[in-house]
Amino acid sequence: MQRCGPKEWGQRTTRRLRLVAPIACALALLAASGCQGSGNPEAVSSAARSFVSALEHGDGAAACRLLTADAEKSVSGATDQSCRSAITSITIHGSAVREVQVWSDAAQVHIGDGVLFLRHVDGSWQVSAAGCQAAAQGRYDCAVQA
Amino acid sequence: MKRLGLFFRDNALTLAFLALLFAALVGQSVTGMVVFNDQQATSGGQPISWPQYLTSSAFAVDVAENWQSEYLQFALYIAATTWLVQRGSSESKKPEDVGRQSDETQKIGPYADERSPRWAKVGGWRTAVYGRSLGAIMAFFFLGSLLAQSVAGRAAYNHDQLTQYEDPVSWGGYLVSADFWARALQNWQSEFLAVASMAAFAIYLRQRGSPESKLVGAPHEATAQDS
Repeated sequence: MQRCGPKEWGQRTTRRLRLVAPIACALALLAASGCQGSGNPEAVSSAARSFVSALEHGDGAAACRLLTADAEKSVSGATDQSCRSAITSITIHGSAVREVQVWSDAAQVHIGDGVLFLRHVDGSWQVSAAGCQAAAQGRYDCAVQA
Repeated sequence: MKRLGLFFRDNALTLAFLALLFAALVGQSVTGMVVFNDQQATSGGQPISWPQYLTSSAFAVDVAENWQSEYLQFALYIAATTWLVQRGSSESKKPEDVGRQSDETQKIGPYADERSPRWAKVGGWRTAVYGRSLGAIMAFFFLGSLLAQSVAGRAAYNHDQLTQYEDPVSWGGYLVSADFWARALQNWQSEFLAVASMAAFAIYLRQRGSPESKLVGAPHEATAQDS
């Protein structure tokens, strides 16, 4: 990380530059906050692969454990079936992760022929929306969503 | 101790506003965190702590969008008042002084005196640069703040996009988005209003003792340099 304190500017620095440096540093810090988008894509991918694997094996209970609490409620609330039964109606072909986007505590994974949305909850990544189909203007209609 | 007292007295304006800046930033960060956590609860996210909010893109974009507009205001104001006047305003030169003025008036090169800054005396590119340095540094911080706003704003925007099950956007996509320009323009309009108000109000209204005002007894038609 670049250091911007007064000492780093050295003795040659004029008084005017010492006034400018803190503002420039503050701007760099503000911009740096935007770099948090990198997040931890590997942890996100791993959670997505686990979810798809559970669906592939028909393990509804395992898939439901990987949902956020709100998403799990929406699955069981939308039908008369339990989450573990209803979730298996979602099919995703393939488990190759094609793209991962992580922005703070939210993520999107293009996996197989599907798209998942995840949130970072209680220290782990959980699926908040699954069975998503692209709709107009970058929006998604999801079979399961919190 | 006496020197410290003199330092505070001689720099009171800068120090007072830096203190106000710090206090306002603390207030903004606390209230902003409350708003952010309300939105987190609505979107199924978890609340974050104050230190986490201080380093978040949501806080950064809110700070940067205001900073860029302030520096834009001063950059434009410094440049515009070289060429544009408001007759009778303490914020303006006299109409006959429009322009960059002569070297003699500006006390540069051979017309510099002993106490003139070195770069004002030496002539050439250094005097040319120094003669534009105030506007240039404001423009530099405007562009820097705008860049910071675009980077932090994209991060905050993409977070919101994902929580609403929508695709994130590229940096270029964010630069042409309504969110970026709505943030910029809502700040710019208020800055332009403030400048226009100050230029016009200063014709007829006075603030005794303030260098931002004409003398209380100065006539309305007198500009700052007349009064």
